[in-house]
Amino acid sequence: MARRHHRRPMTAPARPATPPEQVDFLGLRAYLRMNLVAAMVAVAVLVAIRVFMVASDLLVVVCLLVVALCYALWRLDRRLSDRRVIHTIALLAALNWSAALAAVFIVPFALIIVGLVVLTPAMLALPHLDRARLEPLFGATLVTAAVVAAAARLQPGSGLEQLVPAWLVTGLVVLFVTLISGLIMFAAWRSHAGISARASAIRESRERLVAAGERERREIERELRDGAERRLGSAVAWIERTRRLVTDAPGEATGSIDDLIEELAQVGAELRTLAHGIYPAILADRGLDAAVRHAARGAGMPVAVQAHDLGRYPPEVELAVYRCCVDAIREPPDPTGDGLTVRLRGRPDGGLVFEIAGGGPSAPAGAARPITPADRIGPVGGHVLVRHGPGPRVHGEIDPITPTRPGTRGPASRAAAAIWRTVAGAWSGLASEAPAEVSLSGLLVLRGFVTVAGAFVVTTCLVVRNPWLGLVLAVSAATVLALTWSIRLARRRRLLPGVLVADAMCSVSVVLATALVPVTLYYHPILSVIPSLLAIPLLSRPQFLGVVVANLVVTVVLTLVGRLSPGVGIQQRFPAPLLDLDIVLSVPICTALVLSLAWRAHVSLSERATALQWSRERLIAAGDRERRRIERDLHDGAQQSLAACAVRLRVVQRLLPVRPGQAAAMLGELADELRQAVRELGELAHGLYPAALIEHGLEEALRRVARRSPLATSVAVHNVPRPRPEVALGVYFCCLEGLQNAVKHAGENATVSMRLVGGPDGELTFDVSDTGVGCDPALLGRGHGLSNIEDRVGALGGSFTVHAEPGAGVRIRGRIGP
Amino acid sequence: MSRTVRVLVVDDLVSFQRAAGAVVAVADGFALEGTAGSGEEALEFLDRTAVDLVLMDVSMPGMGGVEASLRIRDRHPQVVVLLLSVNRADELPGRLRERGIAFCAKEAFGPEPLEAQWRAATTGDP
Repeated sequence: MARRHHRRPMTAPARPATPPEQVDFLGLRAYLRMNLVAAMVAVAVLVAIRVFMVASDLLVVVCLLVVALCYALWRLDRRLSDRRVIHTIALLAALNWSAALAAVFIVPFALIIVGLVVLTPAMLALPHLDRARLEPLFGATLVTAAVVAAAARLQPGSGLEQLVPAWLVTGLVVLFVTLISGLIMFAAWRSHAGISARASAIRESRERLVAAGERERREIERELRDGAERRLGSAVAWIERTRRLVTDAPGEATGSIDDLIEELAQVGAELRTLAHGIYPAILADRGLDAAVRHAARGAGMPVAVQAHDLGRYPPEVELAVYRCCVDAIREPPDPTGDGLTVRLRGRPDGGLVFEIAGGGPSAPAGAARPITPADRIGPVGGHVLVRHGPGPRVHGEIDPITPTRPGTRGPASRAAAAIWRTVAGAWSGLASEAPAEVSLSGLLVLRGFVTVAGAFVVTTCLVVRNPWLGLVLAVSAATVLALTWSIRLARRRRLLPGVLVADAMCSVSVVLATALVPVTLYYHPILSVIPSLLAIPLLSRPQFLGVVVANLVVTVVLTLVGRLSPGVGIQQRFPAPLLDLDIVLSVPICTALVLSLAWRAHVSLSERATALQWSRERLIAAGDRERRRIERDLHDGAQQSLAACAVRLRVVQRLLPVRPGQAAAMLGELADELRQAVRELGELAHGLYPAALIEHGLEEALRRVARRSPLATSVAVHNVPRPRPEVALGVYFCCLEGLQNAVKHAGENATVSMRLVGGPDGELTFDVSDTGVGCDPALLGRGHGLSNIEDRVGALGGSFTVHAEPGAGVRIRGRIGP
Repeated sequence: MSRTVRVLVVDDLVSFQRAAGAVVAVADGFALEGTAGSGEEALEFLDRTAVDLVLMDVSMPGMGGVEASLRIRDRHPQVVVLLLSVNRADELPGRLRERGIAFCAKEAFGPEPLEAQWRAATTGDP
């Protein structure tokens, strides 16, 4: 095998931050290393047994196999990188499962440990694989669990365990069962923590983007109003004055026109700078290199721009990278540094790399929550590494957009995925009551499982006339009752106490059940992982550690009890084939329970993260669209009118001595044109940030909107003191959006009512309803306007609902927390 | 300079077409030959009508002013092209000057700049 056939291209940069061998990949590397240590311990134990106890050649073969496993694990660890995660997981699963199968063939009792081992690749894979890849992996895990259980029960094995002292077997079982249970719990925790950290990072980034966007709108609005609009307004009066001068004092008129031309040139330059800051037309026209160089020329410090192999990239990518560079260029310059270096490089695969080094202190602390490079680059599918401190450096990479590979999966993979979908569907059917709450649905399914299992054991006791029937019945009933209680607690939003009650009761009953029927040790360790999985979404890290320790203690006790308890004679009276069947079925069933729980938790969490990501992307796209529109409006509107006016003023200058009448008439036209330009600028500024909102508050701003509305619109406001500016603006735009929706769809005779109600603790509810034609809720979809509302409300941490019925109007309600 | 300079104004905004038209009307020795709303229209116009000077806006829908100017210089090398834009000269590609295309900021345009640019273009050409 070629030693380095997967080398990255030479041009790809070395990652400046953590060396790759130290990146943990959400616990994957730690797991590989622990797996390696466990395999090495196994080698040592096997060697010791061979040397001191059993002189069997089979042991030598097994030992060599485990050494090969050690080597494979070491290789996987050495070569793990972000491009090989999927590959590593697939190999790990293959290694794990073949080792598991080999183990149960040689020593069938190893099923106690192996049942857990089979689970681990799936649990490790959760944060790394997408749904399409997880499905076959989960299905294959189930199949492997069934095969391994069957292999363990339906063939006699080598008889090796009879040769080894029982105390050693028990010790090894306790050690490995505890270790692997702990690994599974930690894998689930890392997966949860990884995805929820991603979700909250996206949420925070979305909030920063919205806040910054709103700040910018307000700044642009202020600059337009206080700058261009006012100056143009006075230029109109100036032209009128000049027109009078043309007839009264023609000598003075020439000078006045000179000054006017000068004034218009200044306003034009001001508008040009403003428009360029809003959206740099040069970026769209001439690309990233030209645009960044252009921005660098206006910087307050020396900026060196180096560009290599740069092509053209999608507009959103170019804009994001450009903004990153401009953010850095606008930072206050570092008094000691030598300025800023911006490097832009096209990758041979069509990706883009940029690096910004030196410059000002890009400190993470900031009063106005500054936008980070990751906020800019994340939504366009890139990643950024930032080094703070002296000589700050930003390194970003954006991969080319490649079409996702179509499903070229083989029949085995498709079959495994189909198996998994069936299981996941069954879970959804069982727990359809509360699909949103993973912990609650887990409790419901667990109760169903315990009820069936308890009924089975009780029936068995009745059939075999076991004297311990009373205890079995009591334990089963107590567990079901405890689970019912915990479900009630969970339904009253007291999920954590509910889950802890279930955890405690299940631990007790699983230990008791193992003591009564020791053969259940083959699958009870799998079962005992479930309660801690249920608790994961509800716990902080220290709490989770406590739960893990408690569960591991239970696992140790459970394993010891299973190994040492003689049982109460239930399994002895049970026909052997039925006992085998019980184990062969129960191992995959318990595995399915654990996997389903992990799946549900993963799916709901990652869907939330994906929804947040989409929302952030929509907000970015909408912001970009709007900036482009404003820039266009300024460019085609005010800037052009201004230029035309300046040109015609020069014509007036020329006409003045020869045809003063015509000059005066032209001045009149000019005043009208400028007046129109001032009006347009005012409208543009109003669309950006309604001045009435700042000057008169939310209620008055909405009343003004209602007065302009083509539909009869009422506004009612109760108990709303001045909300925070971003809340006021968000609610204003949501109500506006709702009203526009009604104007578009409700019909001419509809009336609209807008209601704002403040809650006691500072929360704010808005409600826009119309009496129009309404629509079928199924057709409602998420149109442009509705997803705008959803994104805006979401960015403020609120919630939003739409009710629609044919003939009964549409009602949009949103709630924003304090 | 006996002959009148025939001028074509190309801009998608009517307000600027009118302003430029007024400039041509008052400038000495210039006459407005026609107006066009896009680069494509301008090229068509030039195929039919002889023109000495084209006043071309940079940002227009369609092929845009830069592309249209380059094509005019290719097809009609005798025609002088003056680009007009509200953007700054440094936002335009550098190769325009090499191709003999002059630039004037829109707000600085007027009868004097028109006459000066024409003089520069015609005395520069042999």
